[in-house]
Amino acid sequence: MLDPAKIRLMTKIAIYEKQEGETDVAIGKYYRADYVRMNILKTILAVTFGYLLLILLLVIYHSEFLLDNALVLNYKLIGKQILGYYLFLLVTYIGAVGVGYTIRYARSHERLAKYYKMLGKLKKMQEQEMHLRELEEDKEE
Amino acid sequence: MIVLFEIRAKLTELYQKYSFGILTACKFFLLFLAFSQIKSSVGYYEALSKNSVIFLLSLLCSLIPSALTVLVVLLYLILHLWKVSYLMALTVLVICMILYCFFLRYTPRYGIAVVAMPLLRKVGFPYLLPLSMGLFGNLFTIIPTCCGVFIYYLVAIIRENIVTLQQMAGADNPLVMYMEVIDKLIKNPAMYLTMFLYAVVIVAVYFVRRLNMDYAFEISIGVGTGIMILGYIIGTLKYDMGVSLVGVIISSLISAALVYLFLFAYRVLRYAAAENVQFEDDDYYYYVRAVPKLKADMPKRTVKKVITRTAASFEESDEEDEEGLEEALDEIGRVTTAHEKKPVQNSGYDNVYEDDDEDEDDYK
Repeated sequence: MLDPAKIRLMTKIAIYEKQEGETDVAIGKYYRADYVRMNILKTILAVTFGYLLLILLLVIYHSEFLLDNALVLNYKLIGKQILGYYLFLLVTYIGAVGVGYTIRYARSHERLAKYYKMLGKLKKMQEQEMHLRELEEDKEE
Repeated sequence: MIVLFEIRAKLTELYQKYSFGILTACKFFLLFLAFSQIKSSVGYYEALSKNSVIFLLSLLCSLIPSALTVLVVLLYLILHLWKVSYLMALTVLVICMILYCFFLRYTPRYGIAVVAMPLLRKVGFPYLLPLSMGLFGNLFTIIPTCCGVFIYYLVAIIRENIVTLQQMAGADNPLVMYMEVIDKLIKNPAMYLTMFLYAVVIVAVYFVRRLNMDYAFEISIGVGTGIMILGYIIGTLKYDMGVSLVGVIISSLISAALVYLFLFAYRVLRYAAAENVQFEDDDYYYYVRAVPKLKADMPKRTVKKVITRTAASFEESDEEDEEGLEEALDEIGRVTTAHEKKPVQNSGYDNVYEDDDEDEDDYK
């Protein structure tokens, strides 16, 4: 027989799984520290790649100046400046991303806790249903 | 007002029935416009400029996630530029990659703003974007909005200087063309001012709509529009913004009206979409269509009776009032006497009600 309360609960669970559940379950597989560290690592790669592209564009843009003054340029100072900007950018991004992904993990964790609570409730319902069935079968025997 | 409620109810009903179709159709229409705009601006690749190709691309993009849609639209733009100058196309590609690495990868949900900005600018309502982003999004929407402004100016510079750029591309040093474009792009105060202004509008709208007061959303639209107009007036005084002030004012006001319409639809339809889910247990397969309950707050009708009275009727009514008052006092007196005569034996709510009934009997 159809149980409306059970259907309602299963529908809620299915809607959550369809919307945010997939991402939340994927996030939930990690410990918080691992999840944040992994994203920080991705950010470091992205920022480094982006910075290299930016340097490439700037080098092409200033190519005439660089070629004309190739012999008199202070490469040590230029290198220090490039590295300095890179480190500043990296530290800023790591800080922001660390905070952002920690908050994201916490929110996802809260939603997952509710989801697991609903799953627990569903499990109880199913156990009760099984128990009732067994009783009915015993009666019939 | 009742007409609005009726429209709202009809909209909700329609949306609940055909939400997927409506959203896909809207997305398709907007993408078709975006591809057509790119074609009319920099449509140098003839094979990609055919309407059938644009139709198919729009159809494909309307069915894929928005982050991928942005990628397809940008690739379409780059392919057109490739036909004119591979160096120009590579420059745009590298710029897009830099934007992605530094900014867009953190806001994939709002990536569509990058495509929407040049499109809205072309249609004449660019102010729609910052207002809607502040109203429906969060502060992170500043990033894709500013990236959209950047892409718009980049494409505009290429389009305006295409003949010169083609000549430069054929010259001995094709890098001159690249330098020319970057030079015009980074020395463009109008672009920086537009980015700053849009960011300010998003922040203002976002914070005003979060205030705990009545009509916060509506007020935030007004505040955002005001800041936009004021910012453009100040900006035009100092720099050549490339827009007319009258045009800005008219366009801002129309954008505000459109955003108000979006707000109306958003409030109605945000939670209206029906969910189709399927699951199973030991006995059944369930195919459930979950339709949210929506209760429309119908206005309460209060009927006020306005009766005109003459001086004579006032006198009559005064006499009637006096008589009524005397009667009422008599009644109270009689009831009080009844209470005094019969002492209350029990306490408690049930007994009190019984007591009252008995009092009535006594009175009769």
